[in-house]
Amino acid sequence: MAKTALVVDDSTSMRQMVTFTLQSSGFDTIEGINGADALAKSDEQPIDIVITDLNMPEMDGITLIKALRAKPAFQFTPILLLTTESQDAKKQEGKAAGATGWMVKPFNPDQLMAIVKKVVR
Amino acid sequence: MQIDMSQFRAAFYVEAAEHLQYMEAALLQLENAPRDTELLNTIFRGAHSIKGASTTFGIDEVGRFTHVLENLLERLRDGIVDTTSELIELLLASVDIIDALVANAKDGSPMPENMEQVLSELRRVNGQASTESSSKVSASDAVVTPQSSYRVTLLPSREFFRFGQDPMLLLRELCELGTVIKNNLNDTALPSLAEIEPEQCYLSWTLELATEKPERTIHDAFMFLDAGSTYTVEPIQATTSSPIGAESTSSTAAQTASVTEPTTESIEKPEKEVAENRSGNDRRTAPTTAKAGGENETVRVDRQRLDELINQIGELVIGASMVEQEIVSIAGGRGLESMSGLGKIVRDLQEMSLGLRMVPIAATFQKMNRVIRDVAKKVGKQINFVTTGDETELDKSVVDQISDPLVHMVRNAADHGIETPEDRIAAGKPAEGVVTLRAYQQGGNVYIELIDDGRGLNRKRILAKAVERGLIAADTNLSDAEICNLIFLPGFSTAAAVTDVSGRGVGMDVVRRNVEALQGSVSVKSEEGKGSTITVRLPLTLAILDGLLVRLSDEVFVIPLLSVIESICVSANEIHSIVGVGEVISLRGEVVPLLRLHHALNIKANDQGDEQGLLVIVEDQGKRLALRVDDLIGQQQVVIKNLETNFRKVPGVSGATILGDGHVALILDIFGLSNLNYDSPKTTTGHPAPDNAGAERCIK
Repeated sequence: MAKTALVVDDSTSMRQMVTFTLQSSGFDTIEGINGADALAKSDEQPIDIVITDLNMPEMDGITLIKALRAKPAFQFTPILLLTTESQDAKKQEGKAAGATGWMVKPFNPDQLMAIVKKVVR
Repeated sequence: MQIDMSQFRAAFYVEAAEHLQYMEAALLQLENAPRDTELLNTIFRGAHSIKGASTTFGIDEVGRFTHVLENLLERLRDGIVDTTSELIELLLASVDIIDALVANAKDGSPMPENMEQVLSELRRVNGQASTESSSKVSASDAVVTPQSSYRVTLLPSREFFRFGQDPMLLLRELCELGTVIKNNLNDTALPSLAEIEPEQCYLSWTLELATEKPERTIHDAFMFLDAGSTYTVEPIQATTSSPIGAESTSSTAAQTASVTEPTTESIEKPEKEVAENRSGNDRRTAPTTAKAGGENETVRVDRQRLDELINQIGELVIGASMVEQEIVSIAGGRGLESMSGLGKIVRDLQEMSLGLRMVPIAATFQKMNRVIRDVAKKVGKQINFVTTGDETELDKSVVDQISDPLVHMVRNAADHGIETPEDRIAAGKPAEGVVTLRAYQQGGNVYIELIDDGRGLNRKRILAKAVERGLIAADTNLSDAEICNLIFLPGFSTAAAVTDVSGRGVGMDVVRRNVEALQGSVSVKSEEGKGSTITVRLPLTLAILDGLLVRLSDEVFVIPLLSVIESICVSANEIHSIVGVGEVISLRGEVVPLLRLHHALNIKANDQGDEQGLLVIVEDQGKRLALRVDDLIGQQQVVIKNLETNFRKVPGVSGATILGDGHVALILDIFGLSNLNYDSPKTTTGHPAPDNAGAERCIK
C-alpha cells in the first residue's frame, strides 16, 4: 500500500516540488498550506510521514510539530523539518518539539528521497 | 531521480510576486509602526521563502541577493538594527531588485542596474551589526583540528524501532565519517528470550571514532533520533577548552534532560504553545481578513484552462439559445418552460464562470501606495493616501491592464494636484493633502475614482493651452465639464514645467486610450482650489459585451453599446459633402462625418435609396461618427470571440460573436472604423458646410 505523506509549506512551488518528488517515488500526498491547515487535515487518513516548512503564516512548523506530537496517532510518525542554513538554532528547537530530523534548503529530489527513506520504510 | 526543476518555476514566479507585494505593503506600513513584530515577520518570511525556493529551483541570482537581504531583515526583526526611514528606503529598493531579478529569470528582462549598489549598501548596514557573530563563526571554524577522536554513545529508547529507525543505518553512517577505533555493544538491558518484546530496542552502543570532519557532522548523523533516545559526543584527546567542546556538552545535557522527563515535555509544552499561538493568531487574522480576504484558501488554475472553460460555457449559452429558438419554431412552444429553466441555469453558470476570473482590485490599489510615497518624497509634499472599496472585484485582465493608467493618474494627482505644504497652508488647507482611491460596482460596471483635495484644474490655463496647441478654436464655447475633459486630448499637458515624475505630456490621453481599450471611459470633475475627481468606468469583464445589433443587407453586426450615443433618421438632403472630409451630417449644429458601413465593410447594399437613412451616432475618443445602417435589431449581451486567434486582424472589427440563431456577427471597432473612414476615397461635391466653426472642430 502506498504510504501517505503530509507536505506542509506556504510556498506553492516548494510544496509542488516536494509532493511531485514523493509521488514519483510512489507516495500519496496531502498538502497543507500552513501549520493550521495541515493540523486540520491530519486526521483525514493515516499519515506515514510529515514534511513541514518552518516559517509559515498562521501556524509555524514548530507549533505544528508540537500539536501533532500531542496526538496519539502521530506519536511515532516521522516528521521532517525543512530549514535553511541560517536557521541552525531552529533545528534544535525543532528537535525538542519532536521533529525526527531536518532537511536543509536548497535540496534536490535525490537528497530529499535519501532522507525520507531513512525514516520511512 | 530525474526531475526537471524548471517545472516548478512558474509557481515560484507567482508566489514571489505575492511575497514581494506583501513585503512592500508591510514596509510602507512599517514607516508608521517601526516595531510592529507582525509586519517585521511578514517581511522576513517573504524574503526567507523567496530565498529557499529560488535556491532550490536554481535561480541563483535571486537566492544570493535575498540571502544578504535576509541577514539584514533578521537583525531588524531581532531588534539589532533600527527601523529608520533610510533603511525602509533601502529595503524597498531591495524589493524592487528582487522583482527585477525574478523578471530576469522569468523572461530575460534586463538585470537591475543598481543591484551591486544596493547589495553593498545592504552589506554596509549589515556589517555594523554583524561583526560579533561573524567573528564567532570564523573562530569556531578555525578550531576544527585535522583529525580528532570522539567517544560517541548511542542510547536508543525502547520505542526506537517504532519511530521507523534502525541502529545499523546510524552506525554505518558514523563509520563513513572516519575510522572506528573501538566499537562496544552494550546488551545488559536485554531481557530473557521469553520476556523480549520484538518491537522494542534493548541495546546501546559506544564507538570511538577518528574523523577529519568537524564535530557538527557527527551531531548531524543523529538528526533523526527520536526525543526518547539520546546520544553523546565527546572529544577523547585532551583538547584545551575549545568552545565547541563546551557547546557539545551543553547540547548533550539538554538532550539527556529531555529523556529523563519526557512526559512533561510532551504534554505540558505543546498545550501552552498552542494556546500562545492561538492568541497570536487572533491578532493576526483581523488585519488579514481586512485585506479583502486575500488569504482565503485558493486553488491555482492555469489561466488558459480557465479561459477555455469560460469560453466553453459561452458556447453553451449560445447553444442553449439556439435550442430555445428551434423549440419555438418546431414544437410551437411545447417544452419551452423546461427549456427556459435550463436557460436560466446556463446563464447562472455563465455568470459564475465569469466570477472565476474576478479578483479584488486591492493589490493594484496597494501598488499606488508606493507610487504616492515615492512622488511625495521626491517633490517634497505631504500626502495621506486613502483607499476604499479595495475588495471590489474586476476581471483579472482588466485589473492587470488598469494598473499602468492608474499609476499615471495617481502620479499626476500627487505631482500636479496636491500643492506643496506651504501653498496649502497659504490657501487655508491642512499641510497634508489627501489622495483617495475609491472603487465600487454599479450595474455592470466598476467605477474607480481618484479624488484629491489639491488645487483643482485651472480652466483658464487649460483653455489657453488647448488653443495654443490648436486643439480647439479660440472662439469655441465650451461648458465647464468640456473644458475639464480637454486634458484627455492627445498631446495635452499643462504642467508648467515638465517634471521627471509625471513625464512629458503623454499623460492623460494615454490614460484615456488605455481605459477605452478596456471598453471603459474616463472623465474628470474639478473645483478650482478644492481638488479634482477623476472617474474611470470599467466593464466588469472583457468576456461579454453589451451590444447594439444592426443589420446591413443580410448581415448582422454588433456595435458596442458603450459607444452608441443615439440613432436617428435623416433624409437624403440632410447629408452634405465637405471637401477633404467626405459626407457629413449636421447634428444639432455639430458636423458629424458619415460612414456608410456598406461601403466601408464592402457589403452589397440592397436598398440604395437614402430616403429614411438610418444612422447610429457613435463616439470614440471624443470623435463622433454617424454610421449608416439598414436596420436596428436590438440590444443584446454577446460573448466576445477573438477574431485574431481564429482568423486574422481585420481593420474596423474588434471581434466576433455567435448569435442565438447560430450566425456569426462581427463586432465593430469604432476607433478602427473612424480611421478607416479617413482612408476611404472622399467625395468632393461642394455643399457648403452648415456650421463652419463646428466643422473646424470636427476636423481638428
